[in-house]
Amino acid sequence: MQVKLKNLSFSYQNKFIIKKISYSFESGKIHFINGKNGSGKTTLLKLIATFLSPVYGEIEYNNIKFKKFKMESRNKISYITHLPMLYPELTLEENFKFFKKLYSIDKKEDLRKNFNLLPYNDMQVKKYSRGMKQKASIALSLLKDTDIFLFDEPFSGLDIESQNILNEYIINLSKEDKLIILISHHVRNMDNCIYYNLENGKIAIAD
Amino acid sequence: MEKLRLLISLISLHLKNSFRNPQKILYLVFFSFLIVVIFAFSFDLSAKLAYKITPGIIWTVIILGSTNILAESFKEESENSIFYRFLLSPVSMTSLVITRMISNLIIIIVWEFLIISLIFIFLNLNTDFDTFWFILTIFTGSVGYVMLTTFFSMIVSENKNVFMAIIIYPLILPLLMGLIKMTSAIITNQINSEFFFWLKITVGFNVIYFAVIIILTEIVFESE
Repeated sequence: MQVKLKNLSFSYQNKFIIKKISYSFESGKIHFINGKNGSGKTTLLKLIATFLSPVYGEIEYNNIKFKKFKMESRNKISYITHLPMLYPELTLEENFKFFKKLYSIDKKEDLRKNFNLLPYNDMQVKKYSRGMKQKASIALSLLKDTDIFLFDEPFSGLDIESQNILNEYIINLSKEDKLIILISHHVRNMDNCIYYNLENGKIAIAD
Repeated sequence: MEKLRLLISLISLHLKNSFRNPQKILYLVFFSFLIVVIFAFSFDLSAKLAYKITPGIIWTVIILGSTNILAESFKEESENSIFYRFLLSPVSMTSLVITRMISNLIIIIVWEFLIISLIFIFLNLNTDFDTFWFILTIFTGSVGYVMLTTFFSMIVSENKNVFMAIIIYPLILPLLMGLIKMTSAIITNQINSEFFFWLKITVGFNVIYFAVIIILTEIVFESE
């Protein structure tokens, strides 16, 4: 899998947040993008996730143009964030049941167990702590068997044990030849990783 | 078949979610009950006058009682960023909006049955009119109103400062005029050509609303 950015630019309220980025992200590696708050990390990820459309330039997914990919194949993307992305009135089990049906997932899951969420399966999500909601959301997002995994600050708010579990999971995904782009304003030491800096809308491989 | 099963699970998800949070349902019941009681005890209505104002009361209660609830149709998706999950799923946003309209319609129809019964009891009205046309009128009006309000609730779901009534009320005005005329004709047993004229207008509005919603939903999500 390859995601190619060609002169990609994005502006919001007449201000360019992403400025003519050209780069090719390849699968089998973890692409770790670091940058200050407001540097455009989340915007870049949302563009790749097809939630936003480029103002100028193009994004290609295995040589498929952005518009075509968005129309036909955007469900091949997993977007993992620190946001809850779960129905708070429903229990965790009900959330999983519904979204598994939505994505037609029939895969054996292990993250719910590894994150120690199984004892809280029948509790309404609104009663969870922030960290538990985040773990539940990550466990659900990672159930999708996709080619592209986009992580937006997945470690923030997680305890050390959960961070390590997630770390290991991401490394294993990269070994399965998945394309992984991870953004964070805290640099983490990870195997199989290429580090980038995003500053003033431009991306560069970090030293 | 699989797609139909998915759409049914989308409807049942919203229904389950709505009934888990009884505040909304209780608001619907108590608000409308309050309006009915105020009308019933504020005026000493003669039977003739009661029949004249009942269509207005029915539609005032339905519209005022349900606008706030329907305006929050996508509140949970918006507040908890669940839209991202739907955007990256095989289900189109149009399917999400249509299934939400259906689940809203189910809730509103059940509530309308309760509240209209209360209106007839409190205003001491008899029901010796054609119930088929009455139910059809209430259903047709509710379909149009629920469709429009659900659609706009999706549009403004990211903007909490928008007051839904300002958008919705001018748009449903033509529909509302027809509905009051039709309801009045039914309960006074005066179903004539004018009734069928308004029925066609109402159905016509519903078809237009539905077509516009189908066309616009993906465009709205595309632009956000």
